[in-house]
Amino acid sequence: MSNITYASINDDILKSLEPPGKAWLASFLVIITALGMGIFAFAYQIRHGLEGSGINNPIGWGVYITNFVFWVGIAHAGTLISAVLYLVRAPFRTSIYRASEAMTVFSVMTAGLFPLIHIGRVWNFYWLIPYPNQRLLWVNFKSPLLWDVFAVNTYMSVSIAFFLLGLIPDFASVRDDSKGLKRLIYALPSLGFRGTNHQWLHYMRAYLLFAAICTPLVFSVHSIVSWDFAMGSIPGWHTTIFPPYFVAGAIFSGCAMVLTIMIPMRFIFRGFDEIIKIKDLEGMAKMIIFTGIVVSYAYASEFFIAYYSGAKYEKALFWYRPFGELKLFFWGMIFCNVISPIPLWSKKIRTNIPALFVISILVNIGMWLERFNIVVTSLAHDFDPYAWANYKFQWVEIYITIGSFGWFLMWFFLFVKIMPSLAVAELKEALNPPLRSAK
Amino acid sequence: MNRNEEMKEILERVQIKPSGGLKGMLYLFVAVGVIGFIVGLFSGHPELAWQALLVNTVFFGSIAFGGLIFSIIWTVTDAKWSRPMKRIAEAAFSFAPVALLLLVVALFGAEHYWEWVDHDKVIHSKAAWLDLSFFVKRNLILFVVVMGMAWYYLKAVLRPDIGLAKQLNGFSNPFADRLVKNYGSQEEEQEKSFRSAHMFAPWLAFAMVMLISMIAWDWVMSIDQEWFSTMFGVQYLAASLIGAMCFINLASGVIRSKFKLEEYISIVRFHDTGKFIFAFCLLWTYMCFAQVIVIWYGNMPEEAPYLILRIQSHSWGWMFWLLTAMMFIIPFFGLAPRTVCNSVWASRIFAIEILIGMWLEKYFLIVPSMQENQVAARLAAEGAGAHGAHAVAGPVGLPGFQYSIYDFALTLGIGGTFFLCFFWFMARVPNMPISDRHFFKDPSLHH
Repeated sequence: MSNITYASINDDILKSLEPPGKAWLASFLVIITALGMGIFAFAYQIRHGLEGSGINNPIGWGVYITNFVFWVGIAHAGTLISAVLYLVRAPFRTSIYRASEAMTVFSVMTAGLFPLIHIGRVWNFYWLIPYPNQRLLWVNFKSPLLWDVFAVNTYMSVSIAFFLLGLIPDFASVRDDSKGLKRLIYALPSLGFRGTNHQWLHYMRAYLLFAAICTPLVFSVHSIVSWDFAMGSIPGWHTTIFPPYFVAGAIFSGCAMVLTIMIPMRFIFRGFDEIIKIKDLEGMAKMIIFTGIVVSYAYASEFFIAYYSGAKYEKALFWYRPFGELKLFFWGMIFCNVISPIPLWSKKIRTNIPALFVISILVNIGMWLERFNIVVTSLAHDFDPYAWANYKFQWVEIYITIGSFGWFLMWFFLFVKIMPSLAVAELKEALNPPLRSAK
Repeated sequence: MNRNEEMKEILERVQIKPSGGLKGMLYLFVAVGVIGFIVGLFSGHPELAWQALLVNTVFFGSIAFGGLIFSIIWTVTDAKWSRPMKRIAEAAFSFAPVALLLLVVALFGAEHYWEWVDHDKVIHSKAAWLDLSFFVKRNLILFVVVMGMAWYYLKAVLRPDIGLAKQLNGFSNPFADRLVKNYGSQEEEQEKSFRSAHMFAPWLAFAMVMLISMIAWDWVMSIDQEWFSTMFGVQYLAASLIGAMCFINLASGVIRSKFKLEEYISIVRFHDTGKFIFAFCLLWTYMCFAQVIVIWYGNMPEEAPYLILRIQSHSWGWMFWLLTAMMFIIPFFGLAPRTVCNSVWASRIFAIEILIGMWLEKYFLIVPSMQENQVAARLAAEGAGAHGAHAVAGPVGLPGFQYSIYDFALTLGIGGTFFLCFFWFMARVPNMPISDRHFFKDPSLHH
């Protein structure tokens, strides 16, 4: 803490906004290539239909819906860190919340693409939205899929607004640091912020209110996503614990994604390693431990109730998951989500950056597998043995999945060059203000 | 004043013990409870006494379990605001062994609670789990293991406080002395306690969640043997946290003024208890809503009757809305304003209101299913056949809410026992965590 000052925070963070170097450009090229793969595969799918995906009858939901749930889940950490941890005054949020909020916005943007990709005839996407029309056709308000449309859109708009609100004082400090056109561009989103007492008062009040509004959204969005499944009467889907289990899982994966992204950032930008302290990463690791336990509890209680219920279809499904054709996905999920976070209980591992990085990636993989397990195995093995089927991955959906990472990372890479990726003003709050004797 | 003098002064000032009159009254309550229960057993309706026993045990037990969980959470997170309330939470847990004993007593009334005790009535596919001897074995093992773990944790937490108290003013009683055998130097012990409490707390939390889930599933959910919900255990957990926080709110409100602790339990810190009650009431509502909507929308024959009985029937439907008001609407609008949480008196009113709601919730989960079983048994005895009986007994024809003298007597009795346990514990340990480095006056008061 001692060698960080008001001036050094400003310089370190503003330095990340300088024109990109070779490493940035090379990585960006890789990202654009990945995105290109996705766009190509999507174009192929528009031309040839959904035959390029593994979706079949009865498995009508496959990798696309898995990806949708995965990306919505990633989006949760940002709001959790910026809003919930703000309300409970957890100190480790300050250095990481800006980047994780950005992550939230970009991953909701990614998630939002997948229902559109999944519907096949993407040009009819607006049928999802209720609008007055001559034929008096309305969307099915009783369907959880429609609730999803509202939930995700609300979440996206509120998190974008919250994100931009948090950026106001920082945009102002970029504006003050620049000249000419750049100054004008940054002046617009800073909304004339001068840092007067009055402005800070209003700003803090608005921030608190937004935090309070965002907190229920953290719960509602993924609860509604979970109801896409729980409302059905398919074995393995219809269970009451789904909403909190999904919310915990979302935070679990989101915190892991924060680590996956923040650890490389600490290396790339000089000075960030002093600001994003090991203690902050450790806080994230603790969140992963906690939510990992909640998720494990949910797995266990699902198995227990399947046994207890005596319902033969439930029992059959919960036998199929660990021992059926798709068992690798199940055991992969158990390894990544239940076993791999266990080493984090030791402080040595929690503060060891390579170990944290590896575990965070394992958790990300595990959470993708969990969603795949829920979405696909239940459909593959429902009531009628005649209709049972297996899932075969196709290249189109794999390319589109790779493309979604490209899309997400493209926005993130642009973000770190355009906006201050750490919260300048809030970081300064934790320091002693500069006195005349300081440099 | 240095730290030790300050702590000595706190230790001598804060001694929570009931006045003679209060103590006598609590003993009287316990006597009323015991007599009421025995009279109930030999009356024409022993099931009323048994239901009152289970409702009250599960209710007061939840406050005790929640108390320990808060102590664990505060230990793990190093929360500073809550340190003056930490001992209150731990003292609430002193009722837990009694609660578990009362559950064992309830086993003697097994046939009044669980129709699966009867081999002819148990659902065939559940017979392996719902088997009384297996039920008794697994629960007793769990009770013993969790209590052992809790004792280990509490010992680690209490040791340095008692040791310091001994140094400061020769604090001594047989219970405390046994805890501080082989006491090393104060710094060493504090460090050791800090480390072992931190290491052990997550495991204990895990065990507590197991215990709470098992009590919810085995003792309450299986009363309606057909019905199941994966959320049921977590819902009891959320309710326990609400109950414990309401108790902490009430107790710390009294303690802060009685022992002049306004600088430790400052209004800012007190405010946080109100916020927690607010947050956990919302969590509880969220969990109930998630269960109701999934079951209602799924409309499956083995799940829906539970809701139909509790939401749509004449005998019980009204209570669902009453609980919605008591546990959600009133706390939501009541505790949202800062003024309410900042006032000891106002937040106390809401805490009491929520505790009454929690008691009714336990009643609402236990009694309708018991009545349904009783009516089904009666109709079966009259020859309607087991299947017909459920259809007839469905939404109508149940006695509904009948608050009896036994409910009253056992609430007094078990509540009295709860407070006696609380005072018993408080009389034997330092009432504030004096050796804790996070225990200090609220710094925000000195700006």
